[in-house]
Amino acid sequence: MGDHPVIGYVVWALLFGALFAWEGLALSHISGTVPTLSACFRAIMRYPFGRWALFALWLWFGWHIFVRGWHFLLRA
Amino acid sequence: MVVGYGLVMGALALGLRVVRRSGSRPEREKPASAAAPATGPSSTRRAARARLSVVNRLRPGWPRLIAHCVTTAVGGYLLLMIIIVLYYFFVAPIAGNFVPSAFTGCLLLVGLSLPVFLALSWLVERKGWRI
Repeated sequence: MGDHPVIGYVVWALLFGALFAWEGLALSHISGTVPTLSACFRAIMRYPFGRWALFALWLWFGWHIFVRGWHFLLRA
Repeated sequence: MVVGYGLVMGALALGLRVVRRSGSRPEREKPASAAAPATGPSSTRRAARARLSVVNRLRPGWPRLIAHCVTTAVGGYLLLMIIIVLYYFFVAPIAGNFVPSAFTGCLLLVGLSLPVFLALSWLVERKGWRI
């Protein structure tokens, strides 16, 4: 599990699990009042600051995935 | 991870607040139909705000789409840089070239993604591409 305590990973797993469970509840239409993630995103994207925040989130994710710690294959 | 978590939860909180506010708005403030727009104080405020926007002053079509994309990209880039700088100086000074990498790496991503997005939009609209 690397250098970190297991509880840290468990907390992250619970947070993401809760996020997906909430989305599942919204999509299942069991509760008609829970907005889906896409409904939230549509609401956020109505406003310029919301669009900036979502773009910043996308950029942050892409930076971590594609840029940080990435090396050219032929670099010694 | 903490920055990402903050952004996700901040965006979700904002969305929930907006959804709740629009859901709790009284019926008389909502427009009856698209053909008959509302004439209440909120719609007047919204129209005034739209007039102030540079993007909305452009004619519909490619100029407005490009301005919309560029303002979103620049705004998002600046917002992320502000968060990263604040995080670096006030929360955790991460070792290595964290801040320069954020500035140049994100700029690279924006520089790559924006032309590709606009080119794909052009192909879909003009050449009938289906993605």
